[in-house]
Amino acid sequence: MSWFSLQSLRSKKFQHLGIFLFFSFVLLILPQREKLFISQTILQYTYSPFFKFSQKIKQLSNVYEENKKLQKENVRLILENLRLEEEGLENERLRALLDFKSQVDYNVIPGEVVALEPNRKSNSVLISVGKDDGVKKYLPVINMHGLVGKVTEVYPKNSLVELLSDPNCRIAALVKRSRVHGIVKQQKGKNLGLENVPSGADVRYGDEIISSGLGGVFPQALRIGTVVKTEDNKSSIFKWIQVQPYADFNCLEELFVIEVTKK
Amino acid sequence: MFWNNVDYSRIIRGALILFAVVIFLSFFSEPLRVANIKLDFPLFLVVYVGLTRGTREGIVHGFLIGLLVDVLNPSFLGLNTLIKTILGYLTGNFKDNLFLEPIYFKGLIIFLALIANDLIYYLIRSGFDLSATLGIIFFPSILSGIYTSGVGMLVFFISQRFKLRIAFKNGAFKAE
Repeated sequence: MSWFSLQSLRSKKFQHLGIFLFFSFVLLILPQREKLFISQTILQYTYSPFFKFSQKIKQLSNVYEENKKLQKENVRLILENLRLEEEGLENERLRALLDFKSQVDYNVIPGEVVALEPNRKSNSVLISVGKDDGVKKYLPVINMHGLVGKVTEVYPKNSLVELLSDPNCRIAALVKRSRVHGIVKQQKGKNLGLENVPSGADVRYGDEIISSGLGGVFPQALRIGTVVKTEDNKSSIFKWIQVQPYADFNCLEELFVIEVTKK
Repeated sequence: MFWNNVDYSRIIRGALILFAVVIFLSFFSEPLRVANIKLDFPLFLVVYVGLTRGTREGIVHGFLIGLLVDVLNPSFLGLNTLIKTILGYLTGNFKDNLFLEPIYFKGLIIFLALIANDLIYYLIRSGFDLSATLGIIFFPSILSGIYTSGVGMLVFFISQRFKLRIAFKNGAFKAE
């Protein structure tokens, strides 16, 4: 090759190379501070505007990516919303179906306890609503916690409510979980008893007792109380079940007379 | 006057090449990275200029392109400048000999230039640690060399076709 010969060393192109190599060496051996200065100066006039532009493009690209992600999320939420709307409609249809099945509505007459029976144990209370308010005999009475009793006497402005704690009061009831039927009636002490439940029936501690709707006085599903004790007596064919009522009969204030109306 | 003898087209071409390097390093260096293999476009341009324009332009472009690469890593300012100046000179010497040679030969030159560039660069950067340098050469450099030479061959092919078509249109079917 010609570029290795001695003559070539004297040639213009080799001198050219020598000059540029010299500058390269100078750059290479420069102190770090000067290197930085040169680099920054060149960067400022060459790359900087493009770097800024590139950064903007990257940011725009990120916005685009973010936008895509948000669009995806939006579509997902739209689909979820549609699904929920569909489920809402289904729920409405099922509710309508349930209402159709039960076909009942409640007319609620609110009243206040105005007097207690003056005996040691109050088994009935006088309330502030009567015939004038639409109260009728044998209508069930509840409070915020559960079933309280039934109207036994109706006056124009007042009504007498027989409480569940009255020995004469009986309610057809069932265990909400196992659908075991029985009759709730007063027991010794402050609790009630669930009677006529066969021995070995599925009734457990903590089970909720509700009205069964049988008997015609109390509508279905009114909350009565919870099972606090169960006992299987070998000598009896029935189970002994103690129920703690939700309503505290010793401190009744606001009561609601409910009238079941057919739809 | 001095400026009457200046070849403006050469200056414009040189400026465009440098501009291409800046644009590439600003925008396309990362997007054109394939599976962590970088396209060494600046080195390709040094080889391209050397092979098509000869030693003088090879040296000048090698120096300037090397400087543009070096400013991105100031602690080794001058190193790329030095290597690419030499590469520009070396490839420029092949101009008259290989212009009509097959394109794959040009691809081979690009590949060898890239390996030589990396060998010298990393050898100096690593304080002449040969094992560390060979570690870089034997994986990223070779793959990058293949990638760059592939792209380079494509560019040579396109430019050659373009030049031949112009020459044919002018009625002077001869290579430069």
